[in-house]
Amino acid sequence: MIYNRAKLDIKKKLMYFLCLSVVLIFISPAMANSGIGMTSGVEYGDILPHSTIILSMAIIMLGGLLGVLFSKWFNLSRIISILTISVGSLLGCIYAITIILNNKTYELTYLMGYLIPLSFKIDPISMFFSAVVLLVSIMAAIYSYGYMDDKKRKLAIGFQYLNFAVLVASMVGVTISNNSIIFLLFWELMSISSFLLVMFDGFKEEVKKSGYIYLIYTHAGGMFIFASFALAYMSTGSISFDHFSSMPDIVKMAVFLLGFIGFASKAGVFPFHSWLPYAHPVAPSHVSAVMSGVMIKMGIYGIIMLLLLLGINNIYIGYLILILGILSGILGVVYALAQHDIKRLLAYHSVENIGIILIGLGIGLIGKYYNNETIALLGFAGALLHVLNHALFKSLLFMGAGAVIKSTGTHSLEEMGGLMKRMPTTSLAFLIGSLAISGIPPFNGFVSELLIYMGGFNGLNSSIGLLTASTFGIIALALIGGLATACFTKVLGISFLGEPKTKASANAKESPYSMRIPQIILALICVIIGILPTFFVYSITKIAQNLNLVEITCSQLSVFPKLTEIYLILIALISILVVIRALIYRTKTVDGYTWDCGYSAPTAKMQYTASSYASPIVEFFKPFVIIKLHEKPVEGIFPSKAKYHSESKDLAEAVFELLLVKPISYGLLLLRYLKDGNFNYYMGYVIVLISVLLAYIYLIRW
Amino acid sequence: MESIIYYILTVSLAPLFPAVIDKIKAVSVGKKGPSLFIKYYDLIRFLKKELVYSKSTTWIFRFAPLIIIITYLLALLFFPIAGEKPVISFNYDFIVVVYLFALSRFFLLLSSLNTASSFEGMGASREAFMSFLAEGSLFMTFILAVKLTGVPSLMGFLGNIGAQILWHQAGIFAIMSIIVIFMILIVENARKPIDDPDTHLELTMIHEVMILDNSGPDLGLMEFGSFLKFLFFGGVLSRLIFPVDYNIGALNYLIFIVGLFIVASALGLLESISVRYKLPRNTTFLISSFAIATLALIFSIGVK
Repeated sequence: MIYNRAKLDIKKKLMYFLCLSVVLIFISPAMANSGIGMTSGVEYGDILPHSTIILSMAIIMLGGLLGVLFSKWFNLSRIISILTISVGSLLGCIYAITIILNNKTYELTYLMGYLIPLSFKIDPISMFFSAVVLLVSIMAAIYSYGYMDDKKRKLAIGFQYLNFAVLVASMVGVTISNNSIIFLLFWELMSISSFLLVMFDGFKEEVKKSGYIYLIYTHAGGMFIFASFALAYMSTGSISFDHFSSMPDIVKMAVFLLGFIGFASKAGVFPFHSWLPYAHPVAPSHVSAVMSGVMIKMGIYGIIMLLLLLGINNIYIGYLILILGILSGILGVVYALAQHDIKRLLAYHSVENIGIILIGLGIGLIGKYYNNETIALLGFAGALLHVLNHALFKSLLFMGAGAVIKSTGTHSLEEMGGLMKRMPTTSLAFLIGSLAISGIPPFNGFVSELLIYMGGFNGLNSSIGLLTASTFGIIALALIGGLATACFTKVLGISFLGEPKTKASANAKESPYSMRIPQIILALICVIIGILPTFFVYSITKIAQNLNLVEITCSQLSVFPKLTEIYLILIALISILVVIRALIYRTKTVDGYTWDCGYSAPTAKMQYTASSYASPIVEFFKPFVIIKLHEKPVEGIFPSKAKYHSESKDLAEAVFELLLVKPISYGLLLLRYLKDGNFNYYMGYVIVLISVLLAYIYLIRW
Repeated sequence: MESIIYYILTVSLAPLFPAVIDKIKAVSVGKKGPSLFIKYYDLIRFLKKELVYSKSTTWIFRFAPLIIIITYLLALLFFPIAGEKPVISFNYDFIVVVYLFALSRFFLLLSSLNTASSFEGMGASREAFMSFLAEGSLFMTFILAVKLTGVPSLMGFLGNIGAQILWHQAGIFAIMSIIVIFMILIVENARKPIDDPDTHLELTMIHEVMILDNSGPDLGLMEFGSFLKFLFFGGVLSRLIFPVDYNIGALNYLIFIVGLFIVASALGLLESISVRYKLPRNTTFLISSFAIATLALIFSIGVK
């Protein structure tokens, strides 16, 4: 039996090899014939060849394949796969950073004369997104070594690395592709590989359900993008993105709106976000880190790309983006507050941060419409920097959550507690991530929010339109900041501090080095961007200027060097105080117990819970959060068991369910009559359909 | 140099004002009341004591008091005391200051949740709820101030020219801002009718309950932090009430301090005649402050 299975494995692998080699045979002549089509920009100073980014994608894919091929040797396959993926990503990352710093634009075209040329465009904005993708991927890959340690599922883990590699490579592909077919190819690859990653534990019912929700969402969104690009093709007669700007204005609008819905559903913008809280919690944590940290940013990239390609300068689009940003931002964090599941909570925080990015974009667009270039620059730069920042701290937080879940075996905040004593490094990294995501100085979240605030405060004196937009943006940011503080003090306070509420969390162990190191590195980057923001802000504003969105330099950026001074003072003062207190009170410290109001035997279960902590805020936003209570109250003199359970549902999901899912499933119920499982009928349907179509063409069209 | 002297002087006067509030409260019910220097004695007493740490706590609990005191000390460096140029001043410094407050609040909330006490969780929950609403009102007032003065810094709208600009246009904006900031001051400093600093039941406390487990010098630092917070918001009010600009620095400073005394006395009077709101009413209070600030902004649309 065992022998048989081994044989089967080899057979599978051989099949895989065969498929791969067939693909390679088809591709290789094209690769050989191709040449670099066009090069623009200055030639000197190029350290790396222009196709480095493609090479890096290939290395990443190779890493995935090696993971599958060697999957019999568990540790070896993981190490080889992770190393190759990391090397590929690092190469791509370095290349991307040189492109950003040297501020160059290249176009690479393979298969020039063919129907569908493989055309890529490498410019600072696409390389910025690629760099973010690759940076997070390196960390997630390293993290996965410790996280993916189930020896019984060697093959599944091997394929998981292949999917991971495809996901990373296709995200890079999305950012660099320069015609709609290639773009959609990578887009679908990204969607499918991420779906397969979400389904890693697909034998569980819950995971299966969430996975399908994700699949439906991502494909429905994908269809909108298809529609948008098809419309563009009909109007311009070309699949190349370069011709997008030649459309009539009304078509431009339609193309943008269709594409916007598609990209927004990927990004998790408010009414289209419902897949996030399903897909992120069930995926393995390093996958959630990549999906939430960078994959949803591809939606943002898509929106920015459409804005640039179509050259949109429309006040209503600006307002649309701003309003959706405000809604996503505030409601995202409110829904997050209502969650008990740590990963669902983080998923909703992605909605919030996408909201912040959109607020920045919206303020920038509105500023651009009113010809106020300072506002445009600050808004766009803030949005772009927040893309980077969110990728960093969100993947850090997901990694922390993964470590905690692995260590305690529960997703629920209410069952953790006291983890800071048991997992000090993870907790410290999580603390830094929480401070950063709440936009608190001296961490990186504050820098991007400050940029957006500055954009907003610039728009108060020119016109009423701009004043309204700025006011809404600023107030929304302030509220989001306060709510995020509430939410992350909840997570940290209830699950990392206090006393452990279950045995599992009391016995929690610190995670292995391979999981801790990526978190430490990400936390360090968060601190570095936070304390020394100047370099990053200037690079980002350069990118924003290159987009031809804005052309001026901005004197207001001089705030950022001063921030560094303030932070240094802050750190110096705190360290002085720490030393002083340690010296004076070294001998005067006593251990005691928490004040329990004279009640001498409190249990850990009597601590404040996460739902009680968040309840005032959630109640405040009642119209937007549907709370379901299952209650069995305490009754009688000798009460029996009492129960209280609350669940929250978000508004968009409920409305979609009522208006979209129910009618569609009702309609499909009627169709089920046709689908009775008899293969003969299906063949019949095909024949009938083909005859009808042929008849239509021959009889009516000709 | 002058600004540093003002800074040191003002910080050292900080414990005086809460004592003024207590004194007025005592006098208004016919008691003699404590000495005006009571808070200094308190601080010295706290510093002499030992530190008691609950076994449930971690380094966050020990670290929080330090970060709280430092952030408030740092925030005051940005404040244009008596309209003088502050020690540190740059454009958009007020955002940095508000977020420094957020940093201290984050650690205050964490340190209170660190003790594993239900009381403190309750207080933290209330504080988190109210502070996010108060932040909204505060930013609304900043928007108004930046719109009217055109200078996006604390020096810009509390310095000599800025504060006077707010009084133009029949003083409506200054008066509305004073009302809003006063309401924010009540919330941020946990005074009646939002929170009762003299309450003796943990279940009804907000701010007091959060520092229930802090002891000795840590408690002293936290108390001093709250005095400094009062100084900040009271100082804003003082500058708004008396936006004077004489050539003699000492006179300006004297008027600034008088303004602070007036704010403290107003608070004391309010505390003697008002009762504490039920908790749900607090929301109404906060939303009204936001509404007033919004109204002021709407009025300001036509102003050039």
